[in-house]
Amino acid sequence: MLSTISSFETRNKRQILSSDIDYYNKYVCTSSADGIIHIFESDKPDMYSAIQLQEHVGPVWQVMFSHPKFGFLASCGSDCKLIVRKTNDDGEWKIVYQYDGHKSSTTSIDWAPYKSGAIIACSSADGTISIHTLNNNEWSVSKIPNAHINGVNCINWSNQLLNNHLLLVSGGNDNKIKIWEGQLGIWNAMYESDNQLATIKDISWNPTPGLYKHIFASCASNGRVFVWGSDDCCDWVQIEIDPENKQKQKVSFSRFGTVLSVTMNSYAVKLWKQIDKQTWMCMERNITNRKTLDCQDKSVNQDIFAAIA
Amino acid sequence: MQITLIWKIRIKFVNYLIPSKAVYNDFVVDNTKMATRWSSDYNAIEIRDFDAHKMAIDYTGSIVLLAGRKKYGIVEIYKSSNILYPRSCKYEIKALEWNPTYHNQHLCALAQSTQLQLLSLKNNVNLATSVRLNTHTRAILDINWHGSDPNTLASSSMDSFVNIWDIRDNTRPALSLSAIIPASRVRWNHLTKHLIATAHGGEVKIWDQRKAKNPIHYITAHLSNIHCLDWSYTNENQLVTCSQDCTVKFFEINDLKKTENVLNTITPVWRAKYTPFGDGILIVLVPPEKRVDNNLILWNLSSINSPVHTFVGHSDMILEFQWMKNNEDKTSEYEFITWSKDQTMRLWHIVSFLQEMPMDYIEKQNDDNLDIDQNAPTSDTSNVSNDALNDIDNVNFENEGQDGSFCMSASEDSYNTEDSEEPIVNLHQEFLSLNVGSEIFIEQKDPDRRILIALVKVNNNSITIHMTFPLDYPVNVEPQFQITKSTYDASMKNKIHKVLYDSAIKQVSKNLTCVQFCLRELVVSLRKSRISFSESQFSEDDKKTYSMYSQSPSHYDRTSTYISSQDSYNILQHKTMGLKFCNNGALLWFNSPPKRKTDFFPSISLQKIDSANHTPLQKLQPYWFSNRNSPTDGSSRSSKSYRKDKLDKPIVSIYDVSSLFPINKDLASKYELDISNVFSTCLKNAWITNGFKRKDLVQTWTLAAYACNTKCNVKKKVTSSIDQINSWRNHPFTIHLIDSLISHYANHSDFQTAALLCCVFNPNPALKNIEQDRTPTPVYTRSNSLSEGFTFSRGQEESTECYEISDKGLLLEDSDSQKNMLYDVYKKIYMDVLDNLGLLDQQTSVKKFLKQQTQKSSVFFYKFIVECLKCNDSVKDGYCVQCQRFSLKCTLCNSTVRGAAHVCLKCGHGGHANHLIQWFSKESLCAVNCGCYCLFETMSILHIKRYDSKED
Repeated sequence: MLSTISSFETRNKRQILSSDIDYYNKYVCTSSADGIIHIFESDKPDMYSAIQLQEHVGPVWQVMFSHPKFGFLASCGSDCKLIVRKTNDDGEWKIVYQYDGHKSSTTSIDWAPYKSGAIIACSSADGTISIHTLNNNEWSVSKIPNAHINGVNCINWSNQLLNNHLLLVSGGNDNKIKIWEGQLGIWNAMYESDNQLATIKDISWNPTPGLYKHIFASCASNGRVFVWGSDDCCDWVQIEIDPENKQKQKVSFSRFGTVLSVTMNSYAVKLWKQIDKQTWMCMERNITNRKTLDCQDKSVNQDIFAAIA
Repeated sequence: MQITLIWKIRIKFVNYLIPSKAVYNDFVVDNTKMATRWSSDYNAIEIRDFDAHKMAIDYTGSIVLLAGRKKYGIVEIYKSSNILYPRSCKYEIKALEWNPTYHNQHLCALAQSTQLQLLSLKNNVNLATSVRLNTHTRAILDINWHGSDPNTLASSSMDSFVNIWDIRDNTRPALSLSAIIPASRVRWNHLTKHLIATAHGGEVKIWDQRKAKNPIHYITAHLSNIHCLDWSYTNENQLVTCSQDCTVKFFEINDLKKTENVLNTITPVWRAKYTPFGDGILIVLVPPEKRVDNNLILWNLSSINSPVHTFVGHSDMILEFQWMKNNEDKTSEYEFITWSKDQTMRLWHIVSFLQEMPMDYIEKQNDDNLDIDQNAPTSDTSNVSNDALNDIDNVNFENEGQDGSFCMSASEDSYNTEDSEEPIVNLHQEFLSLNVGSEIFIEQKDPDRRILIALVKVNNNSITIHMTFPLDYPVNVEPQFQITKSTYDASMKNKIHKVLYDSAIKQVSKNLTCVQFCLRELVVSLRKSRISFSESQFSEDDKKTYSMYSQSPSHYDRTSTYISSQDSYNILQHKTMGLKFCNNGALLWFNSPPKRKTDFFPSISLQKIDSANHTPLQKLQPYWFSNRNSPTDGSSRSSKSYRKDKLDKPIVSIYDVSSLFPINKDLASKYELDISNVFSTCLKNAWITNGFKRKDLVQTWTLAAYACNTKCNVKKKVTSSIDQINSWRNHPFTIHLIDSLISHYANHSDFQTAALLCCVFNPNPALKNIEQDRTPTPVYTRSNSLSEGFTFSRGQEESTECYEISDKGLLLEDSDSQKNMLYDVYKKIYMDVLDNLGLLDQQTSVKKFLKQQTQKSSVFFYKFIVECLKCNDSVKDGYCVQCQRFSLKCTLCNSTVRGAAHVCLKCGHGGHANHLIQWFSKESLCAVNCGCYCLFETMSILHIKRYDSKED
């Protein structure tokens, strides 16, 4: 049975666009369309003591904690900026790095596996991906120009290295998925998918190897989700998840365990688990929030996942 | 079109909107006139079985009073769609209005036959009739609260009187205005508190409260009945009337001789009200006959030729609309609420950039399906899908109708009138404002020589176009095109030339600039030429767009499809929720406040749309698009049952989903990793898993135990008999058995079991080496000058804690390096998990089994033994049991160290880890001033070259 650890109202004035929780499940941050990032403790969510970061102008598309080894908090927004913050001794979040070399909205960020160092990739609607590396307290940027024509929507690092090179997957408005391999600051596309018939909205790399060594899931704007599996990163096998349902929005792989969550329209979430190479099992029926959103009624809220054993 | 107001084009982005050069330019360049239509309602509430035809919203914008033929009730729109306090009454309710001021916001006036009732809503709990005003002798037709005086109310009645009430004195009206014809509408001026306007049939009278005998102005406005009149919010002398005679008229009461301004419509106008922002009006048309043409249209008064915006959504005639006060948040968008015959109430908000910029700028048409999604009727779900389908049909139908008649005529008109005023952009400006997609590269632009060279790259083909602009351009003179370099063949070149020429002619015949248009058209056609092969691949949407392209007779149509094809890219769709897996089985779930159903961002990407590919060249956000096909999907039924009115706050929830995953924290802390006796370890682990009711793992561990015990007598404890191990290792099945167990668990992401099996059956040879290497190593022993300190011995002194690795654990072959790598991966993943779970001890013990570490970190293994200074016995945890004392005192605070400690290996000085971290962050010498460079010395002892942050 799944249980709610905590549930709380946020003070975001507009819709929440992304949220993240830090490594030790201690802090939750949310980014909102009103341009404010809220950080609060996950166990005692006193929203009025939440930290508010307002450096962004306009909606903040994504916010993400880095591994505690670095302790950064990165965010990207429609103001074309990538902002990396860190707490100082007084616990205040201060900007340590800011990049505004993108010509258009920065759509997505992702921290590379921490073992490779503090590396963050940032995709932008101007069609480029920038990769920022921290070396001796200085950030250096390498850029993938023309990663996707018409803009990059989503990026995700692989947790595994291939020949000791980092792997980055990206999806964009050219309806393609590309996998990039980084060698000494030079990024080569090592795989490019065929046309996916719709722009790629979200992409998520399975952090651990499963039945395939490399697995990632992609979600296209036509609501279809594919899971891609490969052992060598060159030949990919696609499996469509839940082909009947065409309203999928977002995919996210669990940190371990090869559980894929698919967020759909209309307050529905499905969790999928890989059974064998061809089959994925839905772990429940729709997780639907009926009255569950009444936040006073927390007991009901726990019920969301009650269907899952 | 007689309007001659001068309109200044204002482009101003408000608060969060980022001005971008590209957008700015495009707004200027794209002078296409057309009504934009989208459905931007962000809340639809269906109220069945009430048959209301009057609606009023209160000061707070959250409570709506609905009145039906003989009943009324209130609805709290953000909470539920239930009618609260339904009352019935004898007569039909003709008019109702909430008090628009803060002080009396609980009051609502209700006109019922001859009686004027004041309802008061006390603390949102009780709706009570507080006052009845009975003076009218015949039915009341209209009422209106004074905008600023909380106690003043005007009512007009069939008895031809217009009464002005002070509600504190309810016996008689404060003032009575007498007219011969009864007033059908009565309205207070928004700005001047003395003025009141009344509509009598087709005439308007303006009264001054202070001189109530006669109206101060008398306007013969319309030929037939006036349906609605309203005062301007910005100019106290302006008012608007709309009438059955299909016109909306604007009057300046001080200068009535001035030619009146008229807005002609094709059907009678039911409502016309000024917008509380800017200089616009919002009108509701009476749908002709049965046709459902329910559009609410927003006009900019300064460019009255075309509507700014059409709000689509209702499936039946709109009966009433009212602006909502934005009391709390001044910066938020203006909102209004409509009530329609289809028994739904819709909340719309005027996007701020629309307010700021009511110029004829094209906004996209939102997909209408969104409405249905939001309709979310709470009743029977099976009906819902039907309704939804009908709704779509209606909407579509209505779109077509609209395009055919109204908008088109409006836009034609606009061209006729505005061509002469159109500022002809010179080449400098045009070049500067060029906004081309990623396929088009401007290689050279020289406005002085009137040359532009553009490189177009589409589908691996490239073409260079040389454009020269004659002096008269763009007044009916097209530029010359020359294709200089091209990868296309000759016939294609001709086609390209034709495309360019045609589109240029199209533009310059209207005296419009054409470079951008031509280039875009070219890209579109080039893409189409490829796409024609694979059209079948494209979704129906795309096909529709293409067919619309080819059929579209005029530029306008194309523009509209072009715009509609961008779908919702610059719109942050209402995202009901998001979900993200985080570390350690935390599942972060959040919803969004539905109050702002659709967030609009006049985005950077707005114009840079690559229409052929159906995608914008730039786009804002990866996640948040709604799917246009979604609502009809049967599987969304469950969604219909949710009551969205409950979701009025953004909520973030964290779920503990660790039970979904095979890795168990409790198990992780309990598992044994004693490889001195593999058999008993396996059995122990089996026993542990049994405690957690993991029968599958019990089986596995028992199997593993038996596997390493095949040749032994279970009862006889296995000793380190080399023979046994060898025979066991050589058994043909066991190795493969364990191997397949490991890979099975790894494939199914149970890295816990996999890693532990790896560890148990494949211990690290390095550890083994320690055991085998029996040669005594030099022992560092340091006792410091202080009495309190550590004594260290480095080397291989035996202790009970030291790992005893005997050969018997070694089971899997070392030679298979690839397998070892794989096993290391499992172990590392498990280590990460343990680290995340905070089980650092367990993590370290797994780390010892990593094969690779021996190659990376040098081959030294240390065992530190702490000796008591007094008795020279080795002590555990810094506490000597014999002497009953702690062996370390902090050199900085001089108190006993019990927790984390740091000690210099050379001089032996040390103390609390925190203190020493602070100390060594500034100093390099030992705190006791013994002259030892502690960190440096320690590192050199440990053979650490330098501080290296990278692991592995």
